[in-house]
Amino acid sequence: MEKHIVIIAELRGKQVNPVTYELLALAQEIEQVNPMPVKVILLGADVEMPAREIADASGKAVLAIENGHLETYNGELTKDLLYDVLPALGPVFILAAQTTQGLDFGPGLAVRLEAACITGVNALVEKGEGLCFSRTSYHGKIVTHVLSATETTLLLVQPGAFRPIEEGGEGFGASGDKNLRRGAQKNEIDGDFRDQV
Amino acid sequence: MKILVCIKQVPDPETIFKVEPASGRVIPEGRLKSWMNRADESALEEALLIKETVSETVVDAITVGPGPAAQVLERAVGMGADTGVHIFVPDENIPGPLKIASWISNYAFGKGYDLILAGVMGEDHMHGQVGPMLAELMNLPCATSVIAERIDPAAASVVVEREIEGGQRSVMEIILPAVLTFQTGGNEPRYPTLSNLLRAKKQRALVIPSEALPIVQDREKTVGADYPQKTRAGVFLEGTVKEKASRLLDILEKEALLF
Repeated sequence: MEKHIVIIAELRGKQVNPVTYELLALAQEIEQVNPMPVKVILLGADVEMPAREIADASGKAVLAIENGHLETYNGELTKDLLYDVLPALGPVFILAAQTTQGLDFGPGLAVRLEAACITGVNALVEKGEGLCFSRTSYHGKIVTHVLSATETTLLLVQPGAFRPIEEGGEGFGASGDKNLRRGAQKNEIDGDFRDQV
Repeated sequence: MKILVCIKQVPDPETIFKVEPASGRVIPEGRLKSWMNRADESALEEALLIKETVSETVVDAITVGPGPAAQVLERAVGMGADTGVHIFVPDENIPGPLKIASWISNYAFGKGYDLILAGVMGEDHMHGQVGPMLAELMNLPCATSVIAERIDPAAASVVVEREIEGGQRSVMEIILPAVLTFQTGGNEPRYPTLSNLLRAKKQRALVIPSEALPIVQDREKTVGADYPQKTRAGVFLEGTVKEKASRLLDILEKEALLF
């Protein structure tokens, strides 16, 4: 199975939360060290326009998952939907923002996926042991470097830590695929998304 | 109603820490002052407020850590908790959030807790993971960043108000049993009373060695520690007032501070 970096994009109302472009910036840094394709997942009640916006800005494939119950954020449904689609993507790194949403669904999703979970990520650090992620603790007085011990790692990325990618996805490979799938309800995804994403 | 509150002893925020160059361990300078993590204290206060309004409510407090960590249990009982439970771990082994959640879930499983409350994040390691991981391990619904809640014992549900970005609040109803993690600021934690403190001194906490509980191993490892580098300089905006305002607006939008 092809391995991926998967970004969980976030909406604020009907707009793309700008922190999504910071997640893409971290994905770009990881790609440079550990090359693998990047996929973006966007969940919501009506996500075609924001999904197109992310695809246009990044040049990356966006899997848009629509569900009428996601008009407002629902942590349990978010975890269920992500758990349905993520294993088939072979995620090595799953990137989400450390917002109230990310902190709500991220740690539980990591447990369900048997993945490592590193929160408050603010930098990528290369060490002898492999890719480490930097985070602060003790009210920002100490920086620790954390290494994952599993095949899949869910990273909650500190907003503001990475410079967001620019419009057009500069540095993201001009030939990036811009697949966009619309209208996927939870029950429809399992059957066909593998072929289309 | 039966409530379990997860509490933690954390260092005073004024503590200065240093990194041991050889081991990479983070150690405090001087005598360490500790207290109950403030978000956990808010969670405990909510449990005690529920106890005051819902009859026959029992509040247990649980902590994971080395010997001195039990001091927070005394304070919890002093505030009004019924009993304290201490999952004892040796000092040298700082467990990660998954291990802590695993121990607590193993303790709590089958004991009939209607609500498990915790702080949204520990002030020391700032992981913010134990509550939602505990919910997942116990297959319970979870709401994080809760600022207020209203229990409906008849419907076996709780309506929670969550604090989200941009000063907004979201409201949801959750069926019990459930796990809630609390922000600070939603209540004013009470001081322990003398009579309760005396009760806490007499009433020993239930101590469970961590080795007695099955665990899920942590899936990440801290391999080093350092001091933060100051990498950001201030930005001076130039131009007319209108240009400066426009540039400031642009920066705030890019930093995800405005929507």
